[in-house]
Formats: sequence, structure tokens, C-alpha cells
Amino acid sequence: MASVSDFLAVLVVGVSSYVSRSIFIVTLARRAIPESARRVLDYVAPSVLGALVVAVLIGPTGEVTLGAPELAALAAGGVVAYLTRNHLITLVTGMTVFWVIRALV
Amino acid sequence: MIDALPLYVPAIPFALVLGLAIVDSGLNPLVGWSSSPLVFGGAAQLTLITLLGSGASTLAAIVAAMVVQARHLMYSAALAPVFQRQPRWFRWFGPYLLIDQMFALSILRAEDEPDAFRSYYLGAASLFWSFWMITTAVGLFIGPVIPAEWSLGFAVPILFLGLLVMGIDRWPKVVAALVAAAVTFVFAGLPNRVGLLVGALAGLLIGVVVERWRR
Repeated sequence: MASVSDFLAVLVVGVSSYVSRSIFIVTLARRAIPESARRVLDYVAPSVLGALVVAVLIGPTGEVTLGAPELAALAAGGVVAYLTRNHLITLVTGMTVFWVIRALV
Repeated sequence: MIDALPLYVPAIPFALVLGLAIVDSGLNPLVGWSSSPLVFGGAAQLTLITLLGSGASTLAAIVAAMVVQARHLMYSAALAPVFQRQPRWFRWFGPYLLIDQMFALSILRAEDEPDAFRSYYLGAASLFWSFWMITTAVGLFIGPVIPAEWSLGFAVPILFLGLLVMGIDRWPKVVAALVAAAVTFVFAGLPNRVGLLVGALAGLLIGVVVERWRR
């Protein structure tokens, strides 16, 4: 039954995804987003992504796996992402640093 | 339409990691993959799948994925005038394909003739769509073959960090992200991954306050 509730979750996110992409195009074509709301929306992405980076490292019992390999890899990945703006290079650098540090400590 | 191809290249590792994450999550692979046609948005799919697989409550996973998609409201508002000149069926169907890359390409062609705009949009978007369906499925088959010791699951936080860093255009966003990460860390023990939502909300509040104070 878990599959059914998982599928429903996918469906709900699918519908809300479509709504967020279509709402202004389909229904509110002549309305703009107010400046104040725009300013809040601007901070949604960095906040959620910042929280997600940590959240996906939380283990089943609530402990965060954040040792030297993870910290070094995230630091390196962050710098490379900033300099190159390229996901592939970021991913390769981050994983390489992770493996190397993990093998050393 | 061919000029859209280079934009797909960065999405390939993303699609493969998503496929691996579906396998890792323990979700029914077909249910996990169904997010590709149903959601058609890498960051939201990855958020939903990893959270559902890691014991978050279904509600927390849904809310987090919905918040990740909120940036599309801005795309929709920005493109609304362009779509006003399009037939009704396209105003309904086009937004389904409105991913980050399509927004970037469309804004550049906002002044095109409506017919030319529409065929360009449909051409480029169907290319992205087909590639995304195929590469995320390929990830499903690669997933079980890769040894667990490689810890490829760690690619997920790196991808999120990459998305985060590439979206930063002013320093209050750095403050928002750091606060969100720190608060999520502190509340990591909360059941159902609610700490994620607390952290995101804290980051959002601080970001808006700093932005206002800076002016």
C-alpha cells in the first residue's frame, strides 16, 4: 500500500507543479506578482535548497552524517559550482574529494 | 531547436542521479519514475523521492517539493504576455513543459511571431522531455549495478548545493541558505523530517529581513 500513497504524493506534486507553471499564463494573464511577494519568492530557492543539503544527510535515527569527507566535498563542490556554474564538474569534484578524504581518514 | 541541445547536457548527470536516487529510496521504481512525466522537474522530483525514501512523512515530502517548484510562479508571470498571443490549447498545454531551460530559451524569443514561437517552443521542449524520460529511466537500470561502497547517494546533496550556489546573485541569499542549513541541522531529530520545513522557513524569514534592512 506504500506504493499507492507514494504515487498519490507524486500526483499531488505533479498537479501543483503544473498549477505553478500555468496559473499566470492560463488565468491571470493581466495580473503581475506584487513586488513584496516577488521579494519573498526570491528567497524561497536559497532557503529550501540550503535546508535540503542538510536534510538529505539526516540518517534514519535523526543523526546528521557530516564528517570530514562530507564537509570537504561540500566545500569543494560549492567553490567549483560558483566558479564554473557547471553541474557535471561540480558533481565530479565533490564526489572525488569525498572518496579521497574518506579513504584517508 | 538544435540550439537547445547544449542546455540539456548539464541535465544528464542530474537525470542519472535521480534514477539512482529512485533505486536507493526503496520506492517502487515505476512509481518513482512516474514523477518524470507527472512532475517533469528535476529538483522537485529529487526532493520528493529522497524525502519519501528517507522516512519523511508524505505531507512533509509533498510540501518541500511544492516549495521547490515555487520559482515557476515567476516564470509563469513573466511569460504570460507572450502566451496571450497563442491559441487556447497552447496556453493550457505549454506550461506543462515550462522547465528552467524552456524559460531561459523562451524569454530570448519573446518577440518572435506567435507561430514561430510556438513551433520553436514545442520543438525544444519535446526534445528536453524525451531526453529526460530516457535518461531518468537509464538511471534506474544503472542504479542496482553500482556498488554501494561508492556512496553515490552523496551526489544528491552535492547537486542541491550546486543548484543553490548557481542561483545566488546577492549576499543576503547566502545568509538565508546558511541559516536554513544550520536550523535544519539543529532540528534534525524532529520526526518526519519536519526540521527541513522549519529550517527553510527560518532561512526565508531571515533572508527577507536582511533584504529589507539592506535597503
